[in-house]
Amino acid sequence: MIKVEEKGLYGNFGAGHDKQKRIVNTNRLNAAAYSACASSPSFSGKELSAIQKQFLALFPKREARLFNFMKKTEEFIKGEMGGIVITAVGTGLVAPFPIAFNPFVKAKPGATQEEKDEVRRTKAYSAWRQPISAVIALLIQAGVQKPIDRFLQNLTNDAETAAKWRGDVLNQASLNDEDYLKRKIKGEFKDGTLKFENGNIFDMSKGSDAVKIGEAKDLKEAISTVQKQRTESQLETIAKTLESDGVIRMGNFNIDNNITAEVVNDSIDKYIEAITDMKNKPQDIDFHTRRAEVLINNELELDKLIGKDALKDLPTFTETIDGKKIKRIEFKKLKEYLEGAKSRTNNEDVKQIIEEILNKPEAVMESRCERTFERIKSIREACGGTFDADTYHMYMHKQNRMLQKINDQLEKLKIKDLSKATPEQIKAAIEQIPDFLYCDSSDKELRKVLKRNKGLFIPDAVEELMKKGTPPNEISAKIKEQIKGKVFNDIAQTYKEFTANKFKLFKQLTKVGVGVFITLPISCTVLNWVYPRFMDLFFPKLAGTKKEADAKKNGGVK
Amino acid sequence: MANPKVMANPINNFFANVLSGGTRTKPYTRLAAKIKPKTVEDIIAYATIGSVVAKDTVGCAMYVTQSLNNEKIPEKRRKFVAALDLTNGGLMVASQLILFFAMRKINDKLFYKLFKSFGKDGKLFGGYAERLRADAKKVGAEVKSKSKLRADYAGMKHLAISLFRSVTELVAATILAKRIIVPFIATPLASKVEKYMDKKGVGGSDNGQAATAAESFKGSQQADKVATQPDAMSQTSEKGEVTNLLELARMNKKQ
Repeated sequence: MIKVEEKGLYGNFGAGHDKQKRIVNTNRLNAAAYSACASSPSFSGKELSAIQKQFLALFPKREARLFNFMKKTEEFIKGEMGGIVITAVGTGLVAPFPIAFNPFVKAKPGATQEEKDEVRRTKAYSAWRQPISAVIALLIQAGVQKPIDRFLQNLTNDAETAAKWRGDVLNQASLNDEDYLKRKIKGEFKDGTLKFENGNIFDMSKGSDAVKIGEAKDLKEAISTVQKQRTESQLETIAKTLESDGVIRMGNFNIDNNITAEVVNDSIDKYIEAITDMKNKPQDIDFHTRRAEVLINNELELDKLIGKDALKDLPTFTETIDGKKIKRIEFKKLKEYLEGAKSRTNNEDVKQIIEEILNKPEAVMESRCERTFERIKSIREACGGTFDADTYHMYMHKQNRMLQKINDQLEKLKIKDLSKATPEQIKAAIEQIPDFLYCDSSDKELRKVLKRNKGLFIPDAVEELMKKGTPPNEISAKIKEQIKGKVFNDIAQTYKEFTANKFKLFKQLTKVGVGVFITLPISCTVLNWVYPRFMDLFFPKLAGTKKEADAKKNGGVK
Repeated sequence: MANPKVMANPINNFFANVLSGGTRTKPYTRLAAKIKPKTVEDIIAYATIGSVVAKDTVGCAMYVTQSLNNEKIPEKRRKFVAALDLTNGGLMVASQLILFFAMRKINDKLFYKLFKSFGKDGKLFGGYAERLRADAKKVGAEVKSKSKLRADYAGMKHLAISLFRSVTELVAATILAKRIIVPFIATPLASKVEKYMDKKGVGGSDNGQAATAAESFKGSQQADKVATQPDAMSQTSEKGEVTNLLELARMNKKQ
């Protein structure tokens, strides 16, 4: 890994950020991660995906640190635990002060020094109850949160108790919670069913032969690896049952049809959202058309100023990313060059384009220069070789219409009446989805558009199949099959997220109930017992107020 | 001794029956139906503040009941003490809810000031996405589409903003409202309630004398009660002795 800092280079990301020296550690932008990463966002707040880590590497240091801190402390600041911790902080660290130093509480006018001291001791005695209360609340109320989480996970994931929920989404017998799986797997490593040795994970349950099932750096990663494998396997099983029977099976029960139908509708909504994202926004089409005109009309001058030949003599540095050496133009030199180029031209349009490149983060400028010419090429292709503003304008509208057509068809597939959904309806809806997400090579224009979201609509394998010389009709069949498999898997994944959200609510409400009716009265009782004894033991002088009151009441010290 | 694992099953089965029954009730199913990816964080936030307020309410109820039934408090004082407990409890619940919802209005603005990378207009995303795509191209890796990158970026933003909202709303309610604002309001309010009760003849004929004598300790009692909710600390020890200093002082004065 070469630290770009050694070459005296800086990264500056986005207007409005503090311009500061930063080490652009490009090893974090790991090429392997690009290939391997999952694109689903981390809504559950579990591990960040590889792409999310790459984004974080581009943030200013302060923001990245703050984000990481929030991520690490997430379980202590969210939900019921967050309520308890923040309340305890307020009780223990803030509440004593308004009591001990309350300006409205003072001895009456003309009071003696002893009376004034008495008031001061009373306030101090009262104030001490707060931190004691906070510690007890943390120990008792916060202390039960994790056991409650585990208990509820066990109830909803163990087949025997999960069956009580029958066809409800809280029945997680066949699609286990990730934390539950990790605990189970940890137990299997302990009892020898699984073994971790020299970076290899072995399954010891298949008789005398150890079967290698994966690799990991350490035991924690090994547990995570095995958990991911099992979750994948469970999702595949659910997808297969959904494909064959139109139901999601949990243990011995089928999830209620209305829930399955809702999940299918949610999945269709996700595809619709992805397709809508690919459309050109109507308000942008006019801008893109004008911009296309400017680029085409000024292509020669742009090539002279910021084309490949113009930049080839600028100093470069070598970066190593994932073992590959890449040459980049030094950021500062490129910026200086572009500023010079801008001042050399009298063409306002060209000045504007260069200004826009200069306003981008430094690390993106070189790619922006390259992309300018790629855009010119794609604009010409869109117009069939020769640019025409009206043709280009209509081309963008045509793309939008094609994509809207897909959205309209997908919208029709959604199950309207969830309460009356049947497995046959569900199966029929899902099976039609791939037909709308796929287009064969005869519709080149649509395929070009859909390829923008490669992986979702056009499986990556299509080009490989073409390279191998597979006949077109076989390619179509294989691709359709792949898309169909992906759709069922996507729905299984959507169901998993659906379950996770419902389980969050269930946990939260259970914890509120336990907190209000069980741990709160217990905390109060414990506080009632501990407080006077603590004060008698550690602050006898403050506690002496009470003893004196007792003495006066009873006519003498007991 | 019975095997704990075997013993656990009947317990687990019992709780599974109870909880599964609870999740089949209408109020629960109606609430669960509202849970969507975009609403789950809001619902969790409401449940959390609801929990804090519920504890304060239960604590207040315990205080009031204990005050009304505490034989160590002179009979003519009990209603007055209970009324103060109720006032403080109500003040605490109201102030927490007001500040919770007020913070909801402004916390997004604070968030975008703290995290400029998650720019509200989404313009910064474009720059970051371009950099990632450019780098992927350079190393010959798969260039992810913008919509895929946007989904991951949105996931990070969602995580950060939901945590930020959670903290600021709770801090506003449980620290700012309950621990700073309410103690300072409760004390002067307590004087007004006391005067009102004296006027209406609640608490007996020597009200004026007792009130004067107790003036010095008034704020202490109010601040004490306010600050200890929702701990719902009983004002009597386990032996039934009065631990409320204000009441002790008043009783001593009477004697």
